Amino acid sequence: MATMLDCKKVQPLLSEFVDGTLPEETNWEVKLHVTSCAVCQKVADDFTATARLLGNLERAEPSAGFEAALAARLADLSLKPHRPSLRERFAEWWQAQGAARRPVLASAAAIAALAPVAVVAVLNLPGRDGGAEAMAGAAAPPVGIQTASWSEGESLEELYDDHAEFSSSLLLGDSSVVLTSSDPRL
Amino acid sequence: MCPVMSIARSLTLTHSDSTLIARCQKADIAAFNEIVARYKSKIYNYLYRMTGSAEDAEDLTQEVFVRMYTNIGSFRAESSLSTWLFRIAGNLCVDAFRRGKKERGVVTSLDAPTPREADEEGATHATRDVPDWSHEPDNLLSRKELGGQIQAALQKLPPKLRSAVVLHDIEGLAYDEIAASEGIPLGTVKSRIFNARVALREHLRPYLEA
Repeated sequence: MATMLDCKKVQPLLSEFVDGTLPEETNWEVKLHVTSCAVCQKVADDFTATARLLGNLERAEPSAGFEAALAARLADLSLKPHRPSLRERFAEWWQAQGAARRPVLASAAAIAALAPVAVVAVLNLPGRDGGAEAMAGAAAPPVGIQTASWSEGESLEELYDDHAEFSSSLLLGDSSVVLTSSDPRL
Repeated sequence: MCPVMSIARSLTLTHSDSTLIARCQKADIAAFNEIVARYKSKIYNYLYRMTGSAEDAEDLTQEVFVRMYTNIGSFRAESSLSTWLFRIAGNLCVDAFRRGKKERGVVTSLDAPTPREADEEGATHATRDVPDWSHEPDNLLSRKELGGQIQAALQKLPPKLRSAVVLHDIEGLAYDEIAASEGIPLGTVKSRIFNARVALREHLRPYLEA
């Protein structure tokens, strides 16, 4: 059961109460208080009467020559056409595309946006010879980086030694040596 | 033409604010004139209640439409035309009050003699527009006289309270429209209207009890 509000809490709400803008539950609580409190009832009645006095005021009107005077002031000015922003122009163009074309355009835009990411991801995949071949022209061996090689007659131990020496000079995560190695076993 | 046809025709010829704005933004002067015809009374009445002067209200109302005319290109549809015009009017009022030239009701003391009285030797008492209620409680004032008393009571309010209560009780704007027009939170609008009514209740007590 709701407790009854006191005058201190009700009076700040009376302006909204007479305007009928209080939430339903609060309005009910204020109404309950007002019906049993002569002081708050009087304040509410006065607020209502004040609003009515203002609302019934005779309206003041501009002079008969208002438009002519305004026209004289505007004589040297011109209505400046609206310059749409880039965003507004895009929105207008987007609306003009129609419901059927918008999904297609959105998909194409998404693919175009993701394409560079996909290319970089493919280039960075370890052990992807296909990718290396595909990008052979662009992915030439970096100048100055040693690559290990294997030839007939070379012992496996020597090869390990070479590999260990060569690997120690690599940056972590740099797969360019692997991609351009002449020996697929490395 | 029969009345129904006439009403239907007038309804179809009434353009929405957004349509008029769009036409204005394409430099359509007829649309601008239609906006002036639609809003000049509301803006003028608001400014008259704010300044208490017909002359100042007329000047400021013209300035509102000059500002609208020159800035129509930058108007965004986020706010209504009504809100935008009242905001321009309110800002012009603030500027005018800052300059201290427009708010005649505030700078004019009710106890001061009127210009004509001042010319008469020994005239020191105001007889201008505030009757003595204690001596004439049953005096039935004409509508015009009552309007003068209400205007005098409005002029005693701080401009911020005055603006809120005029926009709400006279121009009929909702709380949220006033918040948008004045650029203040909704709670501030409510408290300003409440405080304005508390003050007006004191100033207008004799009329409230009549």
